[in-house]
Amino acid sequence: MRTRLWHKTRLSRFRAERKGFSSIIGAIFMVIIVWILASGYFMYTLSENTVYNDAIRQKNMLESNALSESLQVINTTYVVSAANKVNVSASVTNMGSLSVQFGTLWAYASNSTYTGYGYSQLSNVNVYGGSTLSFSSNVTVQGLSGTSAYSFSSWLITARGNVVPLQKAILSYTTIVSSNVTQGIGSLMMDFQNFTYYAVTGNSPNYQLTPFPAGSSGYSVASGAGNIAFRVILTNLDQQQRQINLTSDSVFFSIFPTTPQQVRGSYWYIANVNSTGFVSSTFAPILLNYSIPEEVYFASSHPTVPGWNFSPISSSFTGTAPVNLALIGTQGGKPFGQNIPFVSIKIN
Amino acid sequence: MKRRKVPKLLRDKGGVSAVISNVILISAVIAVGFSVMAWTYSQSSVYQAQYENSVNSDINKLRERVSFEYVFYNNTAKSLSVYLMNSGQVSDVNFTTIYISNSSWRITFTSVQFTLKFMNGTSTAYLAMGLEGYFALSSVSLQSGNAYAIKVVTWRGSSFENTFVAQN
Repeated sequence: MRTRLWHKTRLSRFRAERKGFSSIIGAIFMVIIVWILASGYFMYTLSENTVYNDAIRQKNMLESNALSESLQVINTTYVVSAANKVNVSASVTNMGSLSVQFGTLWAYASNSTYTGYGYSQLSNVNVYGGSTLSFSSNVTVQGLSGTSAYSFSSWLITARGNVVPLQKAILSYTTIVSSNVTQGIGSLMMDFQNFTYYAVTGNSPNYQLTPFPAGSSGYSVASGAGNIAFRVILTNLDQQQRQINLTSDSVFFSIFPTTPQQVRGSYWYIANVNSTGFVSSTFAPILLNYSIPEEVYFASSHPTVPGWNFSPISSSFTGTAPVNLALIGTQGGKPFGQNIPFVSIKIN
Repeated sequence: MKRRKVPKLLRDKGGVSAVISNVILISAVIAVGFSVMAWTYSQSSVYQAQYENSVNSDINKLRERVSFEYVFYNNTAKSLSVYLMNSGQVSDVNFTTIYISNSSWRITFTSVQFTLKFMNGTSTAYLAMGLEGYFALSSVSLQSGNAYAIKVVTWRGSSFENTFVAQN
């Protein structure tokens, strides 16, 4: 009874007491403010993180699409259609499920004395998933000539930034005049179109080929009994891609049917010629790397070996004659030899 | 009985000042509370804007993607030409620094040492989405036949790397 009265009295006094009331309201209000601010900022941070995570997902999707591009290119051909221009054509199969758009076609050309590259912007070249597209495009490569042999390589750039290489070609001309002999006859291929001869002028040790580098057609030689030299372009097509070295015993020889009973021969051994047409007195083996056309000169009267320097020679006979290239050297460090019967010439 | 209590209550003026003072105090507290809340919001909005800019910057950096199309070294002129494409999802891609290195050597080019150009040779400050461009670095001495790494760094801080072999 007394306890209940005591609690009742205290409660009535508490209700009557007005001190500190505003402080309580202020504290409650402040708590509300802090709670509103904190929750608002927390939600904002969550939303920004969501945006960031979404961007990461998009980035991963982009990378995944780029990685999923799968293309197969076959039947690539290169034709030097005009000076400084090569036509590249190929067949592209999209092995993946996403369509692929090609943006740029690049081409690179090289031989023993030249390297060049160029590109072509492609328009509306698309390959749908699982389909095959044949395309052809001209690429401008400064310095290309329709009378020289080149090694070409090219690649396509897709819109997703992938690089798609096209198969490498060995030679390209305005007309197809090369003969593949990789397996049946040997590892070396001869360029029939660029078979030239030169007159050898000067005196020992400064012999020079003229007119260099153009020369004249080797099929009809206006010798005039002077010293001459021949140039052929050889390409190493060894399937194992081994390097071939031609030694001083390599010879270009022709057989002239002078009389029905006898034949006579003229020959020119291999020689080193520099970029200005001067013939070296000594000889260093000529390296033929895989799929790179190299100019090889035959001008010497004998194998040029230490102690026996280069000396030119003329044709001892005239008339029509078949010609053989008897090439001696090493292939991948092992002995190598190949005979290429390739042309007939007429020496006047 | 009830009728006499209400008029009596209305005639009784005791405690009115206490009520009024409490109302004033509460109003003051509420007013101050709102003003504090408004001030806090304004301060946090500045921080929110900075945070938003930081997140957007990171997102744009994620979206950057550069593909190398071709790298060609001219041994005669000692120049390196690098062809690239903006294959990402954001425009305004530019390059601030370029590194060329191998296992034991590195050379750095800053933005003042090269100029970004479109494929037609026109100078440009940026590459937009899907566009191709190139830059040429001069006085670069590389060993022909050796492999090198080239790394480009964009103004957003993304870096992209590729390897190439210096031609003869």
